[in-house]
Amino acid sequence: MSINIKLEVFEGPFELLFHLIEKDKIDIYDIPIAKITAQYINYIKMMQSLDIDLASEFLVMAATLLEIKSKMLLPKTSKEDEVQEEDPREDLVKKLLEYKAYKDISAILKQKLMENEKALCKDSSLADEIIDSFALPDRLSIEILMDKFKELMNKKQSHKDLENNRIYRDNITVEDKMVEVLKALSLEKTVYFDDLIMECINKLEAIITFLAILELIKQRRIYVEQTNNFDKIIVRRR
Amino acid sequence: MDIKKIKAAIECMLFVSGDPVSLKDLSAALAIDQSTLKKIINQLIDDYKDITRGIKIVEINNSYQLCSKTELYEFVEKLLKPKAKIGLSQASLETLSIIAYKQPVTKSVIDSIRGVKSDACIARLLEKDMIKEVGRMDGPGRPILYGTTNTFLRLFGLKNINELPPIKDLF
Repeated sequence: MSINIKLEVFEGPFELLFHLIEKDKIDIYDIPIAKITAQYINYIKMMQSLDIDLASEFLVMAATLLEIKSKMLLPKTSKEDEVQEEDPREDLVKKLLEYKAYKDISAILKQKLMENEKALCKDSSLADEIIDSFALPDRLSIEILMDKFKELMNKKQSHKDLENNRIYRDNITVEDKMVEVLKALSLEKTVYFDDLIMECINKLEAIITFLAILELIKQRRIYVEQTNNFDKIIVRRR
Repeated sequence: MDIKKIKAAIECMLFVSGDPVSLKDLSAALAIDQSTLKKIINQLIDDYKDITRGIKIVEINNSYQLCSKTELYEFVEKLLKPKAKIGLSQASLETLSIIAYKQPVTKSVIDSIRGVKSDACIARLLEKDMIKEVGRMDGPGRPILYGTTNTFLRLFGLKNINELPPIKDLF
């Protein structure tokens, strides 16, 4: 026998229960528990036969339904009991109603969200920029930039021919450079850091020079000083 | 200060801030007491209602923010051609509504109302900045308490949490 089953996907046991109640237009305050339990368990069996992984919550609800059903089957022993004993369905109904209330309200919220998410606002990026703004140092002027640029271009020009035609082996070591720097300092009392760097033919040599200076500072054989931002850095012998 | 200049200053500050600015901060910046300022802001809000204006001021938890007008969204769409939005799932919406009405609330309360685990929904709502952790409950395990954010209020067009639509036949 082939069966055509159209399965709805239920997020949780309450949703499934609601579906069953709404389908048969059942009064929620007077749920025919036997009927609903049968339908509910049928549904679960169907899901199992289809090899659908069943969340444990569904099974808990099935157990709850069965418990209620069995409680309702028990004969009431005395009149007193009848008055005191509450309807075993009451807890479930309360929970169902609470769930329904939130389900309904979520539909209203969805409507509100759809209306209001069309109102767009900016984030605080502009404000953040102002708060963390980078202020130009006081002494920086366009002249300083121009001078730097000229200096660089001149240097570049003088190295150009060399750079274009020759490939240098990486044969300069930090130790060699340290000796060189100290030698320069033995001839003169002070040397400009800029000059040491500018004399370098390529990037590698500049880096090695820088490392050599750092090493010499570490070894406390030289020290460097700079009076103000953008002033030339002076290298001195200790 | 001339009232026109005050209004201009408010507009300017809100524009630059982007995020909601509290009445308190505005009042401090303008050196105007809060109740007077509130009246002026309300006037400004009315000014923006004019059909020639494309933005509006929204009030969120006693803070103010500039937003574009919803009715003009079609033009934003044409200009920026946003990709189809992934909205909130039914499950996330349910979770959100429970948090909105019962806040501060723990995950286990949400789970018990929905009858299913809500971890994934909560993670998504946190990621979307709709909810936040607002503290811990005194009790075993000190579970996290969740509440809604200002983003939630703005996205749902609410001035504060009391403006949520009333729930009927609950409890």
